[in-house]
Amino acid sequence: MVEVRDLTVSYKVKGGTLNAVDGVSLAVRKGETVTVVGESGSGKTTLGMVVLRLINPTSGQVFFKGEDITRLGEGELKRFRGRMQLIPQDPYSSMNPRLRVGEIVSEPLLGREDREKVKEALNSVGLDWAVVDRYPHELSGGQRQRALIARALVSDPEFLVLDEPTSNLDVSIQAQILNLLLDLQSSRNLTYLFITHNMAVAKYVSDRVAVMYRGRLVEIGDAKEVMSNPLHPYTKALFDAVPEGDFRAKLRELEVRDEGRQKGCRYSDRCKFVRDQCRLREPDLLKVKENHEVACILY
Amino acid sequence: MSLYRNVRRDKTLMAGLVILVVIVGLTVISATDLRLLTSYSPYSLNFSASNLPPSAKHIFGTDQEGRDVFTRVLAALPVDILTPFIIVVASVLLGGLVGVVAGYLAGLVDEFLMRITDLFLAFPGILLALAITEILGQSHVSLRLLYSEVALIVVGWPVYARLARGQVLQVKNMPYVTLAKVSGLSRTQILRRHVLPHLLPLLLVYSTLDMGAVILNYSVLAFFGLGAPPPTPELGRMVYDGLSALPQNWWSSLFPALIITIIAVSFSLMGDGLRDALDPRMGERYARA
Amino acid sequence: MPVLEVKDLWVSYTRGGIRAYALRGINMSLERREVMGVVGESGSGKSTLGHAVAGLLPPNSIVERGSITLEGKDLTKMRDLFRVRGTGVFVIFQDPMTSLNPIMKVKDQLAEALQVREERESLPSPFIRWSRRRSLDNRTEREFLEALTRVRFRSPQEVLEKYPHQLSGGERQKVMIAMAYILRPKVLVADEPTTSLDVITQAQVMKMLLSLREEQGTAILLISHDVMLVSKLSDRMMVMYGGMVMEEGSSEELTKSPLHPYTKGLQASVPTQFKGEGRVKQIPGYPPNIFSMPQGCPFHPRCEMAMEVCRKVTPQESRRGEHNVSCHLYG
Ligand SMILES: Nc1ncnc2c1ncn2[C@@H]1O[C@H](COP(=O)(O)OP(=O)(O)O)[C@@H](O)[C@H]1O
Ligand SMILES: Nc1ncnc2c1ncn2[C@@H]1O[C@H](COP(=O)(O)OP(=O)(O)O)[C@@H](O)[C@H]1O
Ligand code: SF4
Ligand code: SF4
Ligand SMILES: [Mg+2]
Ligand SMILES: [Mg+2]
Repeated sequence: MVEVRDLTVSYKVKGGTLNAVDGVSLAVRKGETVTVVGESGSGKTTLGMVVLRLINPTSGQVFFKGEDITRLGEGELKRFRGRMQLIPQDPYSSMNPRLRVGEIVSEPLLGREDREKVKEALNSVGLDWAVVDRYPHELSGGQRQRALIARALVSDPEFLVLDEPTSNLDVSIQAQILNLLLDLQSSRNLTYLFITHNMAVAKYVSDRVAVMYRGRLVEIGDAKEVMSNPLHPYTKALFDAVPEGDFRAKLRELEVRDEGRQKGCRYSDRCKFVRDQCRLREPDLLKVKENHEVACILY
Repeated sequence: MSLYRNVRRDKTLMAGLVILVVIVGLTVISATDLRLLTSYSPYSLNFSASNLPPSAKHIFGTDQEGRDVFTRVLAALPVDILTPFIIVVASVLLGGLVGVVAGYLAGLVDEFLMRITDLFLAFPGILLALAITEILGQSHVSLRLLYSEVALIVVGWPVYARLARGQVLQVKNMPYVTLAKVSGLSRTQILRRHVLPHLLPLLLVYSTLDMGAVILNYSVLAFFGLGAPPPTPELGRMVYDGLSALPQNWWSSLFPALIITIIAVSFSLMGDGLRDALDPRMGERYARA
Repeated sequence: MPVLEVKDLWVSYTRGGIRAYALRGINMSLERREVMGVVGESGSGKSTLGHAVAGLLPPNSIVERGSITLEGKDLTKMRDLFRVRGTGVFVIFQDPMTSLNPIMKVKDQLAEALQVREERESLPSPFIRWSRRRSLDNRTEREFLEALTRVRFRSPQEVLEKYPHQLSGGERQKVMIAMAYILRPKVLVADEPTTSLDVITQAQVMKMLLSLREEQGTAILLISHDVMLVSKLSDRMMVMYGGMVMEEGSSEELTKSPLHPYTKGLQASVPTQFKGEGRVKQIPGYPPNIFSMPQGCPFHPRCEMAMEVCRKVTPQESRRGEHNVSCHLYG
C-alpha cells in the first residue's frame, strides 16, 4: 500500500543539518496497522509528513500503491489527496476556531456539497447530526477527535496516518477512540500508519511495530514478537519506562544519561550494553527471525 | 450576534463609537451643506468681529480675521477625516497585499519583499513624509495634498505588511492548515478559507487604531502648510495660524487642537474595544480550562 | 499530624452570571513524605483542588465552604499573595512555560526561588536578601549547581545561563524540580507534570520527583489523568468525578480491588490486550460540565450499575475496609 525506501529528511538547524529521518525503509501492507514508536524528537511526525508528501524528502523514495510519488508536484499530487488522510494529535489546534463543525468535516469534499456523506461520516464516528452547527470550542476533546476522524472519512481514504491521536485525551475517551478506529479499520478495510509513544496503545492497535530512535529504525517486527520479546536495548528501555509491575523499583534503577553526537551506534551513549565495537560503525537492521529485525551488534 | 453583544458590553468601544458617530455625522452634513450647521461662512473675512472670545454667538470664538472658529472646525472635518481615511485604506491594501504574498509564498519572494519593507520601515516616518512633501510640494502648491497623502502611505504601509506576514506565517503552520493540505485544498482555497478570515479582523482593529495616529500625523503636515491648499480650512493649519495670535487669542488654536485630539482618541478607544470584541479565543479559553 | 488537611472544601466558578460548583465537599489529608495521587477525567476538578491548595484559584472562583490547613494554619483565611509565597506549597504544571518567566535565565529563576525560601524562613535581614539578589555569591551558585545536578543535568553550568525556550519540555520540567529542591516546600502539587512528555522522559521526571520526596520529605499531591502512572507511584490515591471524591484509599488496595464503578471503569479503559485479542472496555459518554451537572450521583448517566436512587440522591462517603467510597452500592 505505502512504502518508503531509504528515506532521509534533513532540516537546517543552527550549526548544520539534522537528519530527522535517516535512511528509513518501511512498507505498510493493505489493511494492516504499522505503529511507529519512539520518544519525542525521534522523527515519527516527520516520517508521517513525508509519507503524506507534505514535506519533501532529502533523498529516498515514497510509493503509494506501487506508484512513485516522491517527485510529484502539487498538481499531480491532487490525485492522491483525500485517499491518504491524517488524524492529528491535538484536536484543539486542528480545528479552525472560526468555522462550524459542519464546514470542518466537509472540507475534504472540496466544495462538493454532499450532506449524505457528511451525515454518514458523523454517524460512523458516533456523533449526532446536530454538531454541524456548533463551533469547535463547544465540543469536548473527545468529540473533537471524533469529528476529526469523521472529517478524514468523508473523502473515502484508503490510508490514514494517525499522529498520536489519543495522547491528549483521557484514558476513558482514549478507549472509545481506539475501539472506534479498530472498528473503522475492519469495516472499511483501512490501512494505518499509527504514531505513538504509549506502549499500551501500540500493543492494542498494531499488527507490526517499528521502533525509531533519532531518525533511524532500530527494530521492527510483528507486534506480538517485538512486544513480548524486545531485543534492541532502546526498545527495552521504552518498555522499562512503562508504569507497570514494580515501577518504583524500575525507576530507582533507571539511569538518566544524556546523548551526545558520536560515531557508530547512535544509541551508544545511553546504552547499558555498549561495548567497543559499537563505536566503530552504525549497525544495520538484521533479520533475527522471520518478521523480526533489529539494528544492534548484540544480534 | 455575539459580536453585537460584545460591542454593547464593552464600554470603551461604546464610548469610541458614540464620539465617532457624532463626528462622522457632522462631517457628512458639513460636506453636503455647511449651512445646516452654522450661519457663518468659513471663508469671508470680517475684521470688525476679529478676536472675539468664546460666547453664545461664537462658541469657539473668532480668529484674527474675524471668522467663526466653530464654523471653520466644521468645515475642516471632511478633509481632516477623509484624507487620513484614504491614507489608511491605501496603506492597508498595499501592506496587506505585500504581507500576504510574502508570508504565503515564503522563500526568496518573502526575503525580497521583506527587505524592501524593512527599508521603508527604517525611515523616520513623519520626517520622510515632511521631506517628500517639502521637496515635491515646492513647485506644485495645488498638488501638496496629494503629495502628503502619498508620503503618509509610503510611511504607513510597511507596518501592515509586517503584521499581515506575521499572521499568515502563524496561521500557515497551524495543524488545521496541514489537514487542509492533506485533503487537497489549493493554496488559494486555503488562503480564502483559513488565512484571510483570520487576518481581516486583525487589520480592521489595527487600522482603526492607526486612524488616530494618521490623523495626528496629517495634522502635523497641515500645521507646516503641507496639506490642502488655502483657503480650505484644516485643523492642523488652524492651530498654526492661531499660534500667532497667542497669548490673547488662545481659542483659535486651542479648539482645533482639542478636536484633533478627541477624534484621534476616539479612534483608538474604538480600536481597543474592537480588539476585545473580536478576540475569538475568549470562548476557546473557557472550553480548554 | 498531617502536613496538609482539606476539610469539606466547596469551590465555585462564576461564568456568564451563573455560579456552579467545581468542588463539592472534598476531604483529604496528606502526611509528610506521602504521595497522594489524584485521578479522574478532565473536568472532574483535579486542577481546581490543586490550585486551591496552592492558593492559585482564578479570580472568578469562590471558596464557598471548608478549610485547607497547612501545618495548622488555615490557608483559606490568609491573604492571597502571602499564601502563595509564604507557606511552602509549590506547584509544577503540565506546561512549565506557564510558571517559568520566558525572559529570565534559569539562574535568575532559581535565585528567585531562593529568595522566596529565605523570606519564608525569615533568616537574613532584608539587606542581605537584597544583596543576594544582586550578585550570585559562591554559596548560592554552588546550591544552584547542586540542585541542577540532582535532576541529572550533565552540564549544569551551561543550563544556568539558558532561557526557558532553549530547553526541551522535559528539561524545563527538570528545572522546575530543581526549583523545588531550592524552595524546599512542605507540599508539592504536581498537576499533570508529565502529560505532554514521552514515556522515557516521563519516567525520568517521575524518578526525580520521588527522589525529591526521599531527600526532603516533601509531601506530593500527584494529579494526573493517567490512572496507571498514579497507581504505581502514589501511596494513596483518590478518584474524582464531578467535583467529588468517588473513592479513596491505599493505591495498592484501589488497584487490586476497586469498589466504585467509576474506578473500575477507569482502570478497565487502559488497554492491555494485543490487537485482535479482545477489546478494551470503555466508559460510554463524556464527563459532564459543571454548569450542567446531573442530579444525584454525578456518574449515573454513564454508570452500568445505576439504580433509581442514583438519579435523585447524591451518595455520601462511607467507609469500606481500607476504602472510602461514595456510591449507593455501598451505602
Ligand atoms: N521544521 C523543523 N525544522 C527544524 N527541525 C525540525 C523541524 N521539525 C522537526 N524538527 C526536528 O526533527 C526531529 C524529529 O522531530 P519529529 O518528527 O517531530 O519527532 P517526533 O514526532 O518523533 O517527536 C526533532 O529533533 C525536531 O527538533
Ligand atoms: N476559570 C474557570 N471558570 C469557569 N469554569 C472553570 C474554570 N476553571 C475550571 N472550570 C470548570 O471547572 C471544572 C473542573 O475543572 P478542573 O479543575 O480544571 O478539572 P480537571 O483538572 O480535573 O480537568 C470543569 O468543568 C471546568 O470547565
Ligand atoms: S549496537 Fe551497541 S550501543 Fe548500540 S544498541 Fe546495540 S549494544 Fe547498544
Ligand atoms: S451511586 Fe449509582 S450511579 Fe453512582 S456510581 Fe454508584 S451505582 Fe453508579
Ligand atoms: Mg510528533
Ligand atoms: Mg486539569
